Amino acid sequence: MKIGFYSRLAADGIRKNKRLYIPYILTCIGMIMMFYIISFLSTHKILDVMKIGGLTMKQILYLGWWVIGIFSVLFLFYTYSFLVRRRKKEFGLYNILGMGKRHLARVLFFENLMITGVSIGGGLAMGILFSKIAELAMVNVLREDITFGFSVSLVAVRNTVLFFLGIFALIFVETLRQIRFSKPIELLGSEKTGEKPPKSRWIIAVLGLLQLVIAYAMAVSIKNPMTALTVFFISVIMVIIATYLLFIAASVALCKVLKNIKGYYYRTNHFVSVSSMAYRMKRNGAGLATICILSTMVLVMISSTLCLNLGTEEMLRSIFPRELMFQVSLGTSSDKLDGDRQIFLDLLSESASTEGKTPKNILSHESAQFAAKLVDAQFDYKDQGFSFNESEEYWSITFISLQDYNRLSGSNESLEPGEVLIQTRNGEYKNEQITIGNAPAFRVKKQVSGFEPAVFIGLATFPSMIIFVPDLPSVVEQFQDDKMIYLFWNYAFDVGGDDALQTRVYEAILRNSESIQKGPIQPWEWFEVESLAEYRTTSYSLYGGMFFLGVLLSIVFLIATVLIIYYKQISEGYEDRERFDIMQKVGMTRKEIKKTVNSQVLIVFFLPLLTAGLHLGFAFPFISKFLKLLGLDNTPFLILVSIVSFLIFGLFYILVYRLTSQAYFKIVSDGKRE
Amino acid sequence: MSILEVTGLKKTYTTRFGGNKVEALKNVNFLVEQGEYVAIMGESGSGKTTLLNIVASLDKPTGGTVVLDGKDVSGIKESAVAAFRRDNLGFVFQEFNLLDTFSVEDNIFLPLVLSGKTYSEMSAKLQPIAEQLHIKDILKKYPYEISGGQKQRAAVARALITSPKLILADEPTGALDSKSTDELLRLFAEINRTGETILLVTHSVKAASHAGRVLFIKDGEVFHQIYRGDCSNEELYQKITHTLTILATGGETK
Ligand SMILES: Nc1ncnc2c1ncn2[C@@H]1O[C@H](COP(=O)(O)OP(=O)(O)OP(=O)(O)O)[C@@H](O)[C@H]1O
Ligand SMILES: [Mg+2]
Repeated sequence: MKIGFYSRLAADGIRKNKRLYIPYILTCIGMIMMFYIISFLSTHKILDVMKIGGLTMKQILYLGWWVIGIFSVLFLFYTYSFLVRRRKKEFGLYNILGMGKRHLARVLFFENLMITGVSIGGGLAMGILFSKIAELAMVNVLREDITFGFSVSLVAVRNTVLFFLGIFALIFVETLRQIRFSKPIELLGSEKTGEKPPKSRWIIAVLGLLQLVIAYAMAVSIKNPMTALTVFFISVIMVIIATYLLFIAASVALCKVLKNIKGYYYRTNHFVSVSSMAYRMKRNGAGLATICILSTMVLVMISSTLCLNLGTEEMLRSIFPRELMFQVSLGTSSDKLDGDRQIFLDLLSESASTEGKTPKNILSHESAQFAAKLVDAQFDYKDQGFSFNESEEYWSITFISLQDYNRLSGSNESLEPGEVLIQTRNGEYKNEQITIGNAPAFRVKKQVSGFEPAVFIGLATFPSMIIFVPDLPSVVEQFQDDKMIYLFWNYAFDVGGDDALQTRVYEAILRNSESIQKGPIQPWEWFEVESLAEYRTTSYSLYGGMFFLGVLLSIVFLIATVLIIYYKQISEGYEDRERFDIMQKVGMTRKEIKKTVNSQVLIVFFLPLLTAGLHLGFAFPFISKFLKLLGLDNTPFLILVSIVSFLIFGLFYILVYRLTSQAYFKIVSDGKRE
Repeated sequence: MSILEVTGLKKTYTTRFGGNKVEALKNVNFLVEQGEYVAIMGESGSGKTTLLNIVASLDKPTGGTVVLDGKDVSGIKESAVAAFRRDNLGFVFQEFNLLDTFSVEDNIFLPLVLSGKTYSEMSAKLQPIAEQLHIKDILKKYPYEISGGQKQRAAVARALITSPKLILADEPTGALDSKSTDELLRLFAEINRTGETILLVTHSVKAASHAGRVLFIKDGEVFHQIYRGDCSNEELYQKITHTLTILATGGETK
């Protein structure tokens, strides 16, 4: 009988507070759904089937899995505590009417049990339902062409159930703790506490503003995103803290200032808004700041990963001027003949012809390449110790002959002995001289640009320099002692055809070259191939994967944002209900009230959106530099993508605001009928 | 000319789930002359607040008319009602109804701000009222920082500041101790002497004994009224007590 009684009481409690509980349960369902989906995908067999990139995707998804997990714990905890706070009065009443805390705990237990059951059941059902769509999206993003039947991952189900059972248990224990350590009178009054209007805290406000400015300056002034990653993270954390400080303290201070401008404050449209904004900011500042931070995260994630994903082709083209790039090593001997070159060229055309293609747009030259550390305006190529921190100082250096430069770029430069032309990427070189090791310094005659090398000059992440010298063999000779430098033949060409065809040509070349090398003469020592097709697959699995994760996380954050907005509207509705009632009695017309509510709610709700936009704007230089490092150097495109993301997000935000403000108006006008 | 004419006023509440109907006012008729101080008395639940709300156009009657200064209140458009109330009526509520987001001063200014007055105009108006009500020291404070009596005085100041044609007060002494009650009643009398018309709803015989006329409501109708005539407060007090006894025992007075 007892169990029936408590469970009935619990069900009643949920039903009576459905305005609070239904959104909470929906949020739980959403979180569980996303958690299941990401668990499902990260154990998906396509990731094992994929030759390249499966592992990358797996790691990316795994990262997302952690983020969603941690976020779920924090967020559900926070929301439920809000919910309990709203209901403490009811609990206090039960308590005073003679229901012991133990009984209260039992009611709460059943309540939590019901929420847990419905949430996990619903979340899994939704997750399984939508996992198919997510799977299709992932396959699409990875540009794979595989179809799967509908499947349910039992491992994912088990992980999801266990994880969320854990969270709900934790929440239950925390709620018990809250109830246990409060006196009934506190329970009764807990909603009414904090009736004081906030005191403005000037110091905090100024600190917040200062911190924001410093953080912005830090983020904007970053030159090399790779080495300054720590700086960026510090500035992100500073921005987050500053956002909280500003929303909580500075807005109150601002309202204080506005209040002191009598001509402004004592106007019908400002009077009510300013005072209730000041009143509300401190209490709801944290909520607004959270909305702002979540919005910023969504915006940054979506705009940058979308940009990467859309810009992958362009990025690939900047690294790969041709579809296949060969770097043929001649070893230390430079006595190879032009005849040997012909053998290689024949190998290329022969292999291509098995696929019915001929090498097109052939780009060829000789080069010598090494990495060197730039210390005090001097390149040290002997120190091969590599540390990530100092990567800024590591340059990839490529020597190409002036003759090849003139031939390929169609120019007619001439150089004195000891003079060079240079072309840099991802780094600036300002000296007039280039000193490498102990060799005599080169004089930089001119910096050039636009030369397309047939050699892969290193990942876009590092600074690189091409040095055009009048006499390549002698330069190679110069550094020969240390055996650090080799002369290469470089060939880059297109075959024209899809990735699979390119790969087949590439494999044919490898096969054929093996048989040549088995022959009487070895025309070359070895060669390396960089294949656009292969790199493309890797890139798409990385950037596509990041974009995919960005979307998944954004959905999670959006669910959270919507719930916070909704709860804000509800709690403000209850708060404002009496207030507007009084104002109407004092002589405010309905129209004026509506206007005030609108302007006030508008400011309060669009402040986070605008601040998020501002944050995005200041993160922009960093994002743009970061993308540039990855090879995507197209700022207008990034601007466009960011603006479009912001607009779409803004529309979504307005939609949510419209829907939730109906709940607000309903509550406010409910009050008038009473 | 009467400033307020209430004729055949009727109000029937229908509870949420239909069914029960509560006839709060059946047929209320009375007049209030310019400069009069009228108290309305009656048992709890007799419809006093209902009556006041309808006069203040906060609520609509089921039947009958309220004519204020020659204007039929029910004829005013919904959108203009609030402005009308703001410009013509001062309301002192049973609960003080001060807004916790505003300082005392701003609470008092609220109706003036709504009618678009400038700050200097408003503070010029506030000066004498604040002096009269002894609230000068608490103007910058917030409602949660002041006592019940002070809140009540602030609420009175808010009702007075628009220089309304009629002041409606619903149980203004309900939440006060006897000292604050005396002070407030003295204040009402003083305001009345300066020409304001006051309609006061109260349970308290003492409060009613300050008025120029006392109306008694029972079963949704004006059951009886007493004029002060030449009586002192004490004599009026006696009369009211007497009437109330009769009311309670259900006897006839005529
Ligand atoms: N909104 C309402 N809905 C339904 N019935 C109502 C409503 N307001 C008042 N009543 C009923 O109308 C009657 C008169 O109520 P009213 O508030 O006018 O009494 P009152 O004379 O002011 O009482 P008190 O002296 O206790 O304040 C009461 O029976 C009350 O229950
Ligand atoms: Mg009443």
